[in-house]
Amino acid sequence: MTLPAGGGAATPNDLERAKQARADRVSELERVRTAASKWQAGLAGLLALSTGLTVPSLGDTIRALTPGFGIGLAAAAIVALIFGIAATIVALRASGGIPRLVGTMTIGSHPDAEAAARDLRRAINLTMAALVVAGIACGLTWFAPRSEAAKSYATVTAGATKTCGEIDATSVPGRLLINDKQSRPRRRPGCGDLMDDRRQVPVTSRR
Amino acid sequence: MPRIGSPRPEAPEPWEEKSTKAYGATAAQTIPYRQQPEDEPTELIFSGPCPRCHDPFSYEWPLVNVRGVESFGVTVYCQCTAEHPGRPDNVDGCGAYWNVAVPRP
Repeated sequence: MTLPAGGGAATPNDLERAKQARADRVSELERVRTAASKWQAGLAGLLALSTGLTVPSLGDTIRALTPGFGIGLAAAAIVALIFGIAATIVALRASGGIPRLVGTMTIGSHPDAEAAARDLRRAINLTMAALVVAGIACGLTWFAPRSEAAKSYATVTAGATKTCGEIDATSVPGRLLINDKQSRPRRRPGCGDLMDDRRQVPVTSRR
Repeated sequence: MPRIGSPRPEAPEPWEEKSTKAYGATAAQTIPYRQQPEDEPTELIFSGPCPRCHDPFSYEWPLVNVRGVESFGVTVYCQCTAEHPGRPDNVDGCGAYWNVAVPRP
């Protein structure tokens, strides 16, 4: 124990400030928890938004991409999911705390308030990291090159014209639909030197 | 001015919110404090007799608050639990308050 270096009269303003500081200490844990629960709702919304953009048809997208980008997209999705789950758990701990026995001789619970504030900052950082990774996954979904290997190409000679392109699933007997989803012909790996095209080619059925 | 360490008067002091230079000077000699926790303290704990009513009390002064008013200097007010006529409900102490000089931890 140490004695103060000196003392003197205080003003009513000093008294009010002292009361406010002690009242803040008593209520700080509750205030941090309230802030954390509001953040938790916001973070959950952000995570739902990001996963809503990436998760639907994720498997199909991964399979449609070239192997390298497919693996990258899968890894990004997994990392975003891990960050999102971790952020949710830490935000829950910030807003609800962990049940335990506490002493009754201290005003407020400053260590708990500090821990809750620390958890809240961690949850925010984890959510931001999850959003960044989910953004990368979105970018891969939209812009990564599609795998050409799984597509079926056909080269059809009709008279003097050679046509190459994907065989469209909507082809009907007697007519083969060579389909390029692009509006203009372009070179495709499956077509060799030929430009692929979108046109219907009559074929003779052999029975 | 009450003598340091003098016994509590028979008749309880009426509750009155006031501060005098003598309260601070007396408190500086009779009310020691400790830091809590000792390493990286977050509060000061003052324990001793109130310079006005002489009742023992303990007072915690927050050095840091999470999202709150930052505290400068130390203002102490009596937090004894003895009876003091005229004291408002839900309030402890006799109403005395004072400032003490404490080196910043």
